[in-house]
Amino acid sequence: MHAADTVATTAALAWWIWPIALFIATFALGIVAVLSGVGGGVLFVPIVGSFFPFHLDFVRGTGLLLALAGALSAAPSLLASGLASLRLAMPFALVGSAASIAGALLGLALPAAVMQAALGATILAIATLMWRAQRSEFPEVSAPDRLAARLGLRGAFHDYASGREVAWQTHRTPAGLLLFAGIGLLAGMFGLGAGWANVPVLNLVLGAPLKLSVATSGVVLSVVDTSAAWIYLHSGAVLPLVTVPSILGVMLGAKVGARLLRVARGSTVRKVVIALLLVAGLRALLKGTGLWN
Amino acid sequence: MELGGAQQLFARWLDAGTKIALALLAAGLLANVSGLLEPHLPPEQLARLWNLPLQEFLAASNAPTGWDWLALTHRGDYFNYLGIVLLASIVALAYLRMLPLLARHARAHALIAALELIVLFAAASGLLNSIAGG
Repeated sequence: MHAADTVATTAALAWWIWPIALFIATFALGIVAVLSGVGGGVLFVPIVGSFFPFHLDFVRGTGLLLALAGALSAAPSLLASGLASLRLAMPFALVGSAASIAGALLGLALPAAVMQAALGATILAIATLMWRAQRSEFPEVSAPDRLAARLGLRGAFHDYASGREVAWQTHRTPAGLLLFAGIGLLAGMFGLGAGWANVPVLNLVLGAPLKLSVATSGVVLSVVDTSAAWIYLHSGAVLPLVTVPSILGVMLGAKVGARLLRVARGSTVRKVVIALLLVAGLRALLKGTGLWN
Repeated sequence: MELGGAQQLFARWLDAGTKIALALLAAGLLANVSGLLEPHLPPEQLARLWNLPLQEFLAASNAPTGWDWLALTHRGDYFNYLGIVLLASIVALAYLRMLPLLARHARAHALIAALELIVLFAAASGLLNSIAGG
């Protein structure tokens, strides 16, 4: 089917079908996101960008706001319980948010086909990273680097699973800052959110315990996505009829997902997510290269 | 108290702001799809344009950019922007609120917060879009 035919077909459908379809799809994504531990944005952009009629510019703007809403909803309880660390999040969020502005401006300036192909390649790389990613529950950090010591990047949190206080400190701060700049750039460019990258960097590079990394990742994401979201808002790339049902769908889905968490097998859901990302990434890549419109 | 209580304060502001923003979004969607508030761009027309690249969409729809949406908040579609913009403002408001606490208890983090506010205000002002020609 040619692109023009696709456009004609989608335009012929009643407009209200799309917000409803979007709400249903994002509701499902919200459930899957919680069960697999993957942020909603990274699933939303390639799937909706590939299988819905909206232009990728609007999908990316919505992806950022959707990831932002999810992160903002989860962050307060994680911060209040001490499982997330604002002290750790702030320096990396600063670098990431500045870079995400550059990413957003770059993303809006590049041709759609280039963005679609680059998104496809990025999603395939993320799926591979998720498949192979290693995690360390309590990484060994013998001593903090000078910058980490200066910023006081250390602390303790109560681990409810083991019932003990876990002390932590981090190292390799300059490398972490550099990596968060790259993550911010990609997040702004593709509207992906960034939990998929934040957690490995906090955990494996900086040496933060896994639970602290997962909880703090959302705080970093909320700052990084905020600055890029403004760029999309001012550009006119946020359509309320696309954005609002998506945010509400994913938020409700996340609540259902949190209830299902007790009975669902996380590893199985994670494999389904990786398969979904591979299909959506491949579709985006083929769409961007003009092989499958 | 982590960062002199700033972490707890930050959490409370995020929590309150997010709840208000989500309520506004739900109310906005209802007003938009029910036709309670007449839209700037009717949904039937929007559905014919949302597959266009951004610049072509803007030219065809006369949709606002920058802060121009403020003049259209009485319209169903742009009434939704109140919730969206609040969502995008929560972090900056929370940083601003905890800045005095950080200045008293954690100087390095106060500096980081001040720099973050500059970044966020630069993005929120629309200045960077204008410089980039967006």
